[in-house]
Order: sequence, then structure tokens, then C-alpha cells
Amino acid sequence: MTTVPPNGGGLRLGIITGTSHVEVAAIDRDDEVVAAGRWEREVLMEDQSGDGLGWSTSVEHALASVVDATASTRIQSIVVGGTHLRETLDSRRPLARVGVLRLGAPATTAAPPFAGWPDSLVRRIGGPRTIVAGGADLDGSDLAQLDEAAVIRFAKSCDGAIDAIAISGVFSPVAAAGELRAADLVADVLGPAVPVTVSHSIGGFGLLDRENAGILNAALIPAGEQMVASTRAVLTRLGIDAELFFVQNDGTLQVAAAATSTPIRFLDGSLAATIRGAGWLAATSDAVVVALESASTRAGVLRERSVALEIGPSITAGVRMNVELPLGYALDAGSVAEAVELMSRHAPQVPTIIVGDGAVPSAGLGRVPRYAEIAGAVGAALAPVSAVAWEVVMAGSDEASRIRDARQRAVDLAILAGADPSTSEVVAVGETDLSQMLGGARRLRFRAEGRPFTPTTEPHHTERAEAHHQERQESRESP
Amino acid sequence: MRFTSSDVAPMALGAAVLGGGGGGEPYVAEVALAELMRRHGPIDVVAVDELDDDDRVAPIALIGSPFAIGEKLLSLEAIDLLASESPARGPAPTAVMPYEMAGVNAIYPLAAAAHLGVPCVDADFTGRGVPGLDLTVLELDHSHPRTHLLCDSRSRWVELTTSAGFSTEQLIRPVVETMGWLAALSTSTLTPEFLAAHTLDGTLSRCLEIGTVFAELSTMNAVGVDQALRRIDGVRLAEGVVSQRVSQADTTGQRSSVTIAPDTAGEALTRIELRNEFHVVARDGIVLATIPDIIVVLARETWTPLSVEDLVPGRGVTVIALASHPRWRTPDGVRLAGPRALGHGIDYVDFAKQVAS
Repeated sequence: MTTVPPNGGGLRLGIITGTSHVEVAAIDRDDEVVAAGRWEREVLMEDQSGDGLGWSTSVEHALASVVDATASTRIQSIVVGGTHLRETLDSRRPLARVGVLRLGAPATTAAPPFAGWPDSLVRRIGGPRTIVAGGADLDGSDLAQLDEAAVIRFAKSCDGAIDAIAISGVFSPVAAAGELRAADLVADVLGPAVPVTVSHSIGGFGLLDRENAGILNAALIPAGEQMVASTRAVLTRLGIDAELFFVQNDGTLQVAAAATSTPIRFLDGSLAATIRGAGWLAATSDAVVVALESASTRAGVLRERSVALEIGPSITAGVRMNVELPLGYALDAGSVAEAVELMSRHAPQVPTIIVGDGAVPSAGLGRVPRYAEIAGAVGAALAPVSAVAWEVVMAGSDEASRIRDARQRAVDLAILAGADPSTSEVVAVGETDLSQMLGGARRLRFRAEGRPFTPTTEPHHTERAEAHHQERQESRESP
Repeated sequence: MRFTSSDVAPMALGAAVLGGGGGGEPYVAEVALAELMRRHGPIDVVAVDELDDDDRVAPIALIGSPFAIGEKLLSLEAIDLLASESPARGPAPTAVMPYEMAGVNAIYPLAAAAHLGVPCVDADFTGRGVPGLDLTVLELDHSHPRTHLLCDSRSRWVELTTSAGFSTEQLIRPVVETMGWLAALSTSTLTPEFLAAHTLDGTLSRCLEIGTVFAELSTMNAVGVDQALRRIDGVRLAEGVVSQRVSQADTTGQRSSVTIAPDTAGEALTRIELRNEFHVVARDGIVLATIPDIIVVLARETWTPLSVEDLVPGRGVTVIALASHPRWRTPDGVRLAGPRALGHGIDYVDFAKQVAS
């Protein structure tokens, strides 16, 4: 634990729990690291967390050390990230049993829900599943009228048999109304306590990949709720009243509530936060980043200040899904040269930064910045909030208005996820030409970013921000 | 041949390779096929010369946008409707066959065979991914089925019966667009004599063989890869990272040029010209390979075949050329499906000779 005498408030805290260690950093409003710490998790494993994975014990230890070193009232935001939800998925810990409703018949019937999944995982989380008439076509029109009676029959078949529901609909990223209507009908039968994941809130195009992500998301909701609740309990015990954010898979943030409703986006923020932190510590926007830990070597790419993501679908727990994960490699401990070589193939001619507690300056492999051992915590503390929206457009027609709406949707989603409205904007537009379609059809992905909104972000207070803050305060008071 | 569940994965990999960047990602059909075979068991795959005289065969394909396939997937009802006896179709088929042995369309007929409980014929009309119905051996032979049948994801139905002179492709495209950019397609039932005269034989087996070879590439060193590729008439052309993609529309639709930067600064860039498939590979002003040979671009680490949509900046890739069926490498084949036919102002180049020189 290192500390620097503090001045004023406005501390941003980042905490990263990796598979084998915990790290914390406190950063003041001048972007100086004023407190830092790092511990091996075995040392903390006198486990009182109740989740069997030592999550809240680790977080509490890290937080307490900073509170000892500074003052709890100085803390403005707390960002927590780590491998907890991925570990939950990969271990044999209980997950929610999920009932799956797809809106699509008569289309889609040859590949029903759970098709292509490992049998063991289906046994672990699979509940009732069915495909009913419904869904949208590419232009947003009804593919078939929603069979509401069949939705209600499905909901009744789930009563007492499931812990959560996942609903997917054909082309729901274009037209979400069907999924939302079905969610209402299901909630009428099962009550509001059963969490419902609608696929358009999770991912982009590709029904099976989006549905799979929705099912895994629903299965992880109790674990996400517990992760957030136990973290809040730690804050209460330590007397800390600060905005709580969690690190997404891509290293950016969302408010704690998002981690309870969309835990699939929070599987593992540790590598991505480390990549971002390394770039910031080394003052570079593009780099190959290698994280050397005692148990593993991991590597990824920083591209234009963002974490380079895997292109195309990702595989998690043997399931293909369209949740975006960092492009990266995990290798045996000490394989630095191999990691640099692998990553350089994706990012030729950029500098290499080496971080982690095993980072020591070594012959020509890369730079080791100051605070290398807490790069993940620094990356978490400084990350922006971000959210993504998808759209598909054809040349001409309503192209311009669709693009405008989707951009606004991305910004709105970022604000809802905790971004300061006065600093939120679209920062990246991904464009994919669609083959075999005339008229210049393109699939678009808009990513909006903003600074984490906290009650004391004074320099960015505007009327709009104030109103937004007011709303959030009210909604917190009346759950 | 018995097509068993262990053949599904290599078949899908071979299908992606033969897509040459197009054909639609086989994944959706692969998942459906595995699910249907779990229910119905293995599939009989029969050679054209194994068919009985009274067998009647239905070619099966999906036509439309891969993007639409990814959302609407495959409908069992559409298969039932397509295969039903009707005045336009004639008798219900005793076997199905692939129309286009590539991408989703190499797998979809097997899924239909499993669902309908009939054999699948080891032959097709293209032997590789093609952008339209007019790039087939049927067109080379000027022999077309009288009727085309289309069924969309809402089970809406269209029959197109034409006399000679119409381009089926031109007639069908607006229908497919109206159907939401995706339809299941079949033709009036075909006889074994028609198949013997107008199909590419053994293409299903070749797809499976190619997939089996590609599944092994990630375990091999460079020498092993080159030897394995040679066994299936393939050659490695380039490696690097996609650095740029420029797209524009011309009279034949959208086209893109993709630049691949080499690992070593100062070496020549490789360029790929593409439309719905990869069409031309060039380096230093020299054309290395063109359609109708099959240009395959793979993700570098995993050796997974990529679609034309996947080639975005930052992606590490390996480029391979595979010989297409000998019928495509004839003057007639090149005239119909070579680079000039698809809007590129260059002649066909045999990559094997180009690489050797």
C-alpha cells in the first residue's frame, strides 16, 4: 500500500479482482495515482463472502486499505471489475434455470433454442423452451403476428420450473416491440420477481448468437445480483457513499444496476481494464499490452484508446454468442515473447507495454510503465461509461433518419448506463456492407461514451445533467 | 455413403471454404442439421449413377442475404412445402440434392434430407459459391428446369414457370427481395438422366474432404500446410493484417477492395477485389488468382474461413486459392463466371501457373 497525502475530494477508485490477485488504485482529480495496493487472493481467501469465490472479501480488503489511507468522504466513484462472473460460469456453482421463448414461427424452427449447446450446460440451466409465432422482418414489419395465447401457455408451463426467462425474437434489434410485449405477458403470469431478459437488450444481429447470449445472461442474473448486493454491503459497512460502477468485458463501465440486468456484459473486465490502464500509464493510444501475472500471461491490443475486440461471434462455456469480448490470448506464465509475437500479428508496428506484478524491464520486449502492477485498477478507475446500439440501413429511403435515431439511441443508452449527459457522444461507428443485397445495405454499430456521472462532477454540471441526476436520485429512492 | 453426425463439422468447414467468401455462413444450417440428425439419424448420400430410373430429385437451396438467414434461420415448414407434390413440382421427390455446394447451401439440403427422410445426391450445379442462379452448369449447358419454386419465412409461396429466353436470376431476385431478402428455393422434380447430364459429380464428397483437410491445418507447420493444400489443389498466396477496405457501388452492385499489409514493413501489399465472393488477388501489380477458382481468406490463428463481410481492418488473415471444378476452367466456364463476367477488367489467371512462375 502506497499513499500520497490527499488534497480535496473527487477520488476515483478502481478495483480489479483477477483469478489470483486483487489490485486497487485511487486517482485524484488531477489524474494522479494517490493510493495503490495489490494482494494475492490466496492471502484473502479466509472466505466470508458466501459466494464461495471470495468476491466481497477481496473487494472489502482493497477498499478498506484505501479508506484507511485517505478518507471515505473523498471518494466520488468506485469502479469494480474482475473475473467473478466468468468464474461462476466456469465453476459448478448454481446458475438460474432458464425458460426460453422464441418469437419466430414458422421461421427458425429447424434450429430450436439450445441447438448446438453442450449437453451438460443444457442440463444445468435448460428449462421449458418453445418457438411461437411472432418476430419481425428486416424492414421492421411483422414476420408473423405474435401468438399471445401461446406466450401465456409457455409462461404457465414455466411456473415453478424456472428462475429466469429469456425471450428472443427474429430481427428484434430492428423492431423490439414483440419481445417487450411478450415480456409483459410473461410477467403477468409469473409475477415481477422472475427476471426476464429480452435479447435486443443484449446483442446485435444473428438470432442464435443473440438468443444464446440472452439465455446465458438470464442464467447469470442471480450471480450478478449477488455480486452487486455484496459490493453494496461492503460500501455500507465501510461508510462509503459513492457512485458504484462495474467494468464491462470491453473495459468500459456501466452503473451497478446494469450488472444485475445484463451480467453477460460483465463476465470479465480484468484484461480489458488492464489494456486500457497500460495505455494510459504509458501515455499511448495504440499498443500491444502484455499482462504478466504469477499464474498466467495475458495479452491484448489497445487501438485508438479502445480495447481491440474479437471480430465476429465469441464462444463462452462452449456456447457461441455475439457478446463482444477482447481480442486476446492467455498463455502459460512467462511466455512474454510468444504473447508479443501473437498480438503483433493483429497490430503490427505499435509499441509493446508490459504490466502486471511480473513486469520487469527486459531486453527489448517492451516498456514497463510506473504502476505497472496495478494497471487494471488504474484502467478501471479512469474508464468511460459506454453503450452500443445497432441498426441496418439501405441507401436512400429513410437512411438518414435511421442513422440519426440509432446514434441518439446509443447516446441515450450510455446515459442510462451512467454516463454524464454533457459529455456523452458517439465515439465509434462500425459499418459492415451486407452481401447479396442490392441498394447499398449496411449493418451499423454505434458506440457512445461519456464520463461516469457522479454527484460531484462539478466541471460538467449543466442543466441537462442536473435534471438527469435528479431523476436518478428519485428512481433510486423509489425502487 | 452414410453421412453421420461426425461428418457435420468437417462438412460445414468445407462448405465455408467452398463459399469463397460468399454462400452464407454455414453455422446456422450446421446447427439445424446436427439437431435434425440427432432426431432422425444418419443420412444416405448417393452418387448420381446409384439413382434408380424412377427416382425423382429436388434441388434445394436458400437464396437471399446471409444477413437475413442469420435472423430467420431455416424453416421446417418451408422444406415440407417445397417438397410436396404439386402440379408445378410434379411428384414428391425421392431424393434431394444441393443446388450450390457452398456455405449454408451445402448443408441445407442435408438438413432437408434428414427432415424428409430421403437420400441426398452427391452432386450439385456449381461446386463453389456463386452470386446468382445464372452461374451454374445448367447455364453452361443451356438446360433449365421448367419451374422454380420459392417459399419464404412466412410460408408464402411463388411458382415461376417460364419458356426459354428469360433469365431465371433476373426474374427471381425481385421476388426474393419482396420475400424479405430470403427464400427457400427448389425446382420442378428432376430425373436421374437430367442429373447425369447436367451436374457436377461428387461435389458433396469433395466438400467433406476439403473440410477434413482444413480442420487439420491449425495443427500443422508451414510445410505441412502447403503439402496438405496441394492434396486438394490449393496454394497459399498471402498472409498479413487487413489495413484498409474501400467500398463503392457500380452497375453490378456493391464492390470492395481490401488491402492486406504484410508483417514486414516494406514488403508489397496484397489486394483482394470482392463482391459477394472474393474475386481477384493481386500483389505488386501482378494478378495471382481469380474466379472461377476459389479464393479463400482465413482468420490467421484459427484457420476459420471468413466471409466477404468479415474482412475489416485489424483482422489477421491468410489467403489461399483452390482450383474450381474443371468445367469452370474451360473457356466457356471462364466466359460465364470469370473476372470479366463479374465486372473486373482482367483475364482469368491460373493461380497454379502464376505461383510456379
